[in-house]
Amino acid sequence: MLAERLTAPMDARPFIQVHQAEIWRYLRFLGCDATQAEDFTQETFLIALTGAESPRTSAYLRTVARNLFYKSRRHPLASLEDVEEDERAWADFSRDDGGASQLEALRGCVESLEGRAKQAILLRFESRLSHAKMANSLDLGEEGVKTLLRRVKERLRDCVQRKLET
Amino acid sequence: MTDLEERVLDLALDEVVGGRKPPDVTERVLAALSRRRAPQGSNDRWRVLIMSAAALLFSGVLFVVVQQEDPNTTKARKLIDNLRSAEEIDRSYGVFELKNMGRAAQAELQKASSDKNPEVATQAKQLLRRLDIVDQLTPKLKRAFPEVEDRLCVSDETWLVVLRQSVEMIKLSEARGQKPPLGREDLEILAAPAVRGAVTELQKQEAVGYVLQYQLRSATPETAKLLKDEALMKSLAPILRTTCMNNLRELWQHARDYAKSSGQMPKERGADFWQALAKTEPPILPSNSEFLICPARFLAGPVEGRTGQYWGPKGDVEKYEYGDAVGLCDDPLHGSYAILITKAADIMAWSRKAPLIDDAKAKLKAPGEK
Repeated sequence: MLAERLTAPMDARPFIQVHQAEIWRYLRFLGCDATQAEDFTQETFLIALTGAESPRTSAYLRTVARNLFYKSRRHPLASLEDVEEDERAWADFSRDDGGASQLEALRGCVESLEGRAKQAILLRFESRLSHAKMANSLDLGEEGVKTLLRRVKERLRDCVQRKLET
Repeated sequence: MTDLEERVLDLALDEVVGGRKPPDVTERVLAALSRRRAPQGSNDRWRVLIMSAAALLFSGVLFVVVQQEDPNTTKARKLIDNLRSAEEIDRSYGVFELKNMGRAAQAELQKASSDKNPEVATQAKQLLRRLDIVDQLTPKLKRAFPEVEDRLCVSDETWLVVLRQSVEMIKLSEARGQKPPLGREDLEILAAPAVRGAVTELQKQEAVGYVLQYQLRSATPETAKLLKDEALMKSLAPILRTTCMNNLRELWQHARDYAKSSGQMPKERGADFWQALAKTEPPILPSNSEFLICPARFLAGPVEGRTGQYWGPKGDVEKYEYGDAVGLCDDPLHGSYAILITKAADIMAWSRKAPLIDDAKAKLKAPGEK
């Protein structure tokens, strides 16, 4: 087993390049911050590429990544239901391209936003402002900001779904 | 928007708007791989040499032994060895690959199911059960619940959870005016093990409720066993009585609607009066409609002379008085009650010994009566 584990596959580079974005996004989705997601992505590929007869499917990589993430937590066990629910939500997002089509559709939808809706999204995700600071900029209460964000997100979700269906 | 949907959207916005893009870890992974490949010192080199020589010798002996063996058998055996590992990642890999092998690993899994190591034996039994489950599941179920077989192979109790989630999924789609992703045929697969897996009284009531609501006939042998439990039957009796009353009310309403549209009530007599509603053109009710059969009898299964069909009018219902009975359920599963509906759509549950019930029966024809 050791000898096999020390044998790296010849096509490691394209394999990593194809899957790394999806695994990083998946780890972020599970709850990792960006740095932790980067570390676990690296570790996932090391495990997959040094494992005997690595199956090299994104499902296997996700299993490895998920195990790494759960092991790192204080309470490592997630119920099978939670895992399945996560997997379903992830499958909806990633489809067959690791989420690239969803992101592309979202980009178009964000560009089509106007006025206060666009301003709210930019303040939150580009400037990374807290709800309180956003409230000052938008001249709204904190609850008003939360409601506005929720509505804009619902619009974006519907817009992405429409784009993907067409 | 659900929490999960919002979590996914937040991440996507973080990437699209916030510019937090996935890093490129290719070079770092490749560098780490090459470090792992290169022996670090002379001791390591010697160790690798000795181990390589030993591995060569061992594989030579092994080659002679296994050269006639099916490659799948060798692979499955090796993966089952992974299940003994102290490392979680090795065990996960073993399970993952054994799942991928499917039936090709069955023979070795059967041997492993009696392994001395209880964890290996349990895992092997679960994987064997999973193989059977994968064959049973419909494509729609597999699509709606990715990798659900992993949950279902653990215990019968999880079948009830998946049945519940399926029903919720159907109801949600219906509420949104969308086509449900699952249908009755998918629920049929889940129903019998779900009823078997119901442990508490509440779970049993819940499972029975689904079987009734969606007329899941595959589960009736299991529900029939449940109904022999007197305590459960006692708690279910009011629900079954109410459902039975609702059925008669629905049937009479459909008959009246039919009369309004066609100008006359069905001409059939007795139970056929109600069954005729499934034979109109187009049918008012599907032939397997839940309304056409007493819910208690549906759950307990038919016995000789008791099919669960309702009594219907003996004569021309148009000529009946408004207080006359037009339908009746006399199944003994309702205990001392008989359920009656009049032409005026008054519905009641009366003691079957009451004179009112005798009067009603005089106007009605029992199922199967000539």
